[in-house]
Amino acid sequence: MAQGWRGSYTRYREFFLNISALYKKKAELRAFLEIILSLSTIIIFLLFALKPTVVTIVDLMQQIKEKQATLAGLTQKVNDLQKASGLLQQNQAFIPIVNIAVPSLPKPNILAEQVLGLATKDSVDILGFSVNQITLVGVETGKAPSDFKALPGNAKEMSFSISVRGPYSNLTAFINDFENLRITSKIDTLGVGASVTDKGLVIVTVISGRVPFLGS
Amino acid sequence: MCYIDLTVIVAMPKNKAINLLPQEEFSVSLLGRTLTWAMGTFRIIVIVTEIIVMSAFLSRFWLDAQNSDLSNSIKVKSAQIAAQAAVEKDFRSLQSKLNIAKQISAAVPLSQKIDAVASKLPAGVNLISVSVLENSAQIRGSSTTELGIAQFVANLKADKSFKSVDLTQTSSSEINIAQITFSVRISY
Repeated sequence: MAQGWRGSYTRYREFFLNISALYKKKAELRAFLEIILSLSTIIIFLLFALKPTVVTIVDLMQQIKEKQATLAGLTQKVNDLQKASGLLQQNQAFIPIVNIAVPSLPKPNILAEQVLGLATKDSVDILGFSVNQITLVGVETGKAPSDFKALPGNAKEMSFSISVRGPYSNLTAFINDFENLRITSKIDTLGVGASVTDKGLVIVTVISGRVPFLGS
Repeated sequence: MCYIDLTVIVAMPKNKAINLLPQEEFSVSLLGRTLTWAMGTFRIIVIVTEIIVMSAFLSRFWLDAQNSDLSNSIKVKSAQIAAQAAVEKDFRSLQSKLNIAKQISAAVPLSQKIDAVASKLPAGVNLISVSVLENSAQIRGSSTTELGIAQFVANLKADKSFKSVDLTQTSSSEINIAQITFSVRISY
């Protein structure tokens, strides 16, 4: 057993010593070996070290770029919100007026009160006041298609119709005052009709329109 | 023996160049020179590759730190925006309301259109009804003479704000035979 081990050792030592001597002796072998080892090193570095690192770096740089854009947008938004907050503070007194002009929810009672006030002011008789079906509270159901152009800014609408009677000058004053009401309204049709009755000449005005509201 | 050596030395030419470097056959051959060049170049390439790998590896830490800082900044800004959500909602709502009010107010009031029609009535012509819409108007009137109706239509046509003026109907009044009723359609 020992003899076999010693024999093999001697044989392999001679074999390796031969290779070593050949390596030292042959310059071209040294050169080729160094080139092959250099290439192997470069390939191993490129495949197992550089490629994954570069992929990760590219990914990180993309993430950073996106986050920088997001951060710029957010910073802009924070600045704008600060400006908006300042503007709201400055115009605090006008906010209730804007909320009356275009309410967030439909308020037919306020419109009715305003019309009553105008009728008293301009000395005209209210013959009729109607507001079309509208959802005051809760989820809005499908609305009937309107014959008129939709209101701007995707505003919701509360249709109304008012008929008043009186002398022509009073009626024109009523129409003018109604158009200048603080509540914004889009008058779709305006009719003035005169008819002779037993009581004499009767002039009636019918105003049909829509009051915008923002909705919840 | 010594005499022979001196004779050889004396016999040598005086200016002969002596190269002490060993001239191996391999190092002067084309393959040898190419391989020598390749070895030198490849060493540099290996060193450069190592530098790149190390730089990439180290720069990743810096990029990670930058990424983390940005994530934190985004969280802070998002929290600030979330805290001001009510202000944003109010402001947007007010902006929408102002926009709606502005656009509706920009339209020509219908009362002005009625006034424009009424102001063009000649003597002897009366209005029975006026119905005004956004883009059109329908007028019914009565007159004692045809000339009055023609004058009224001519007055309306003279107004440049009306796109078209059409006399659509004329007939004798059922109530008063002396009166002529007429209808005019106006487009804006």
